[in-house]
Amino acid sequence: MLLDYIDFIVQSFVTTLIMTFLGLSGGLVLGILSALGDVYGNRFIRIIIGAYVEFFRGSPLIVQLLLFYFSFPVLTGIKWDSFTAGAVTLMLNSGAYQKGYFKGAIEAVSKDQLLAARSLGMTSGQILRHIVLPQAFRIVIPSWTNEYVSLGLSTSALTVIGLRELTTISKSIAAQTFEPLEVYSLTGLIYLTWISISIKILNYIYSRVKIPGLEISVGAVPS
Amino acid sequence: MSVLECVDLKKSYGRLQVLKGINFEIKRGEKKVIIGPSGSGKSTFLRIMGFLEPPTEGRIFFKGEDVYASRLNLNLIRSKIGFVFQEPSLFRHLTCLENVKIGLKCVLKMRDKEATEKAIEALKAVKMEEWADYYPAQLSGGQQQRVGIARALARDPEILLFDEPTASLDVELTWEVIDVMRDLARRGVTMLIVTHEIAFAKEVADEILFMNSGRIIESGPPEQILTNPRTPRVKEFLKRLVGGT
Amino acid sequence: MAITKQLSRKASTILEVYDNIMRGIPVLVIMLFLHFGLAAFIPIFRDPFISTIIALGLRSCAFQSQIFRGAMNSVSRDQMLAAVSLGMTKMQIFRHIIIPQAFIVALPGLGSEIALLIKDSSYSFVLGVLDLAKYADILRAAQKSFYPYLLAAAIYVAITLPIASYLDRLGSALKTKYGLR
Ligand SMILES: Nc1ncnc2c1ncn2[C@@H]1O[C@H](COP(=O)(O)OP(=O)(O)O)[C@@H](O)[C@H]1O
Ligand SMILES: [Mg+2]
Repeated sequence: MLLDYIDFIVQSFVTTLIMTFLGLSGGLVLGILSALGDVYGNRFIRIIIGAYVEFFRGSPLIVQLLLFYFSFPVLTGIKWDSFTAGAVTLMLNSGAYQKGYFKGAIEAVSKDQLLAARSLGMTSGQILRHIVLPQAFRIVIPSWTNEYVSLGLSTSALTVIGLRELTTISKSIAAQTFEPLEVYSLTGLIYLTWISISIKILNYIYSRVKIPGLEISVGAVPS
Repeated sequence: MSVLECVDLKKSYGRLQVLKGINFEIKRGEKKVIIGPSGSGKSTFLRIMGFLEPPTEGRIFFKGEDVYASRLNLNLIRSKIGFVFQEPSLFRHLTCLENVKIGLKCVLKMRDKEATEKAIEALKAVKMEEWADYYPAQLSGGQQQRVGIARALARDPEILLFDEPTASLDVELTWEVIDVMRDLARRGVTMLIVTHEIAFAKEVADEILFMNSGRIIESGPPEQILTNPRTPRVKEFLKRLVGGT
Repeated sequence: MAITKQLSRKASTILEVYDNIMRGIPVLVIMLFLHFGLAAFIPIFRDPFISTIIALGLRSCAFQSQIFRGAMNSVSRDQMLAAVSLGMTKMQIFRHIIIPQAFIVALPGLGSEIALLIKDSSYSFVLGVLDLAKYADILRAAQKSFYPYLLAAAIYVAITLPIASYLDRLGSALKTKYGLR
């Protein structure tokens, strides 16, 4: 019976949540830094960031996971477990996507406002902190919701490195019970419920911090 | 005493020379108006006089000190100059009050209470105090410009620079902004204004300067420039301007 | 699909539910569901290759309908009014006014969707289809070396990047040309 496995399912779902959270927050930092580097940095920095982004956006997450989990130790001699390798890969992957969203949001802050801030005598740091980032954060929320959904679902790819998250556990339960139809239906339902509730919450947050005239969304294409 | 002065100011963008040697001075309490065709370099001149861009050649003095030669702190000087732009350039994520306060707090390091008082005072001067808690997108273009003026005014600047503050406004909205500027002029604020509101210029200006392709080709008191210009270029420009409106 | 959505309200609710399901479940789980769950009832899903294609297709439908819906909404009200005032029928407006413009606006989104399809085809690895990623895995096992995965990743980048960036550029070039938003 499926109920016998409920503990495993809950545990694995928690792992899925943790991986999503790690990937998103690491990706947030990486995404903001690379967006800033791409907008304000010099040629060299921009090329490095471009290569990073194209690599992680252009290749499948599965291949990235295999690369980091299996090949990285071969190259460096450092052994790491599937949890660490998976978290790092997710961060790098999400950072590449979030860079695009943040870059769009940063560029959506009009040049007029930057000049006005300068005319008040604000330093570049102050302008970034008080003018650019507060607006960029609000503008980015809709795209960021997309990234949350897409990364959350992508955690199922972690099964290729054997991390015991929801999809991996579903696979082994399905194999043990010989009831794949029920098992995968339940798995799908769990993902669906989680994602739907998350979207509701994020949309609520967005409606709370929304400011008149700042509700433009940039490049909110799911990918 | 001169507030701003420049000597043989030149500015090039790449191979394009936009300003071709400008000498200019404005003293405390004076109001000067710049007119001239579009693309003649008025905005560039104002941005340079507001220390938002360095000149390619020439010297600029703020209250007698050569700013670039003595390597003065530009942000400090900018904080003593008020700038009002053509496009409403309010910070979109801040209310009117916060827009006015942010310079006071970030740059002049005022405490919150003091900044609020100052900001409300400035908003009153432009008759926008009732809109203090609204966001820019909720205001008309004219109201946004008035808040922009309050933001520039709140720090008691030595001089206010206006770059065609009414050029992107409808006729009716133009008047409410002009009224505010007229008020400031009466209070004796030093102002350097780019505008094509000729009636207003005639009323408040001590001197009108005509700029044409990077040079000031004529200057003098409003009566003389507006009614009896010496150069044909100015005459033609004024004829079109009056005919056009 | 996006078109149906505009035409009928009932169809639109059903499609909405379909959309939400497809955007809320990992495509890998859909594949597993088809291949292991449904194969007993529908023999065709015994083939992992077919399961992969159908799962990707099902989800791509949902994504593309979203892309086209956004693109069609971007056609301005003024133009619709003008078309109505010319006496065009609803179908004519669709065919001659909305579709040509929507297609241009949708190009960049389509580009990243195609790239996504190519990348997600790698999930078939889990079902055991021999594709680029799987092949690299075999190579790696054979050689215990670093390069096969890197090579696989590079090949994917080399395929997806030009497609996505070409359609993106084509889209913005056409938008500028026709003055679309
Ligand atoms: N940042 C810039 N880079 C290159 N060219 C510029 C820049 N700013 C202004 N220009 C050019 O300088 C000329 C004068 O512009 P501007 O000062 O805006 O004139 P005005 O305000 O009198 O209309 C124009 O030809 C404009 O294209
Ligand atoms: Mg100008």
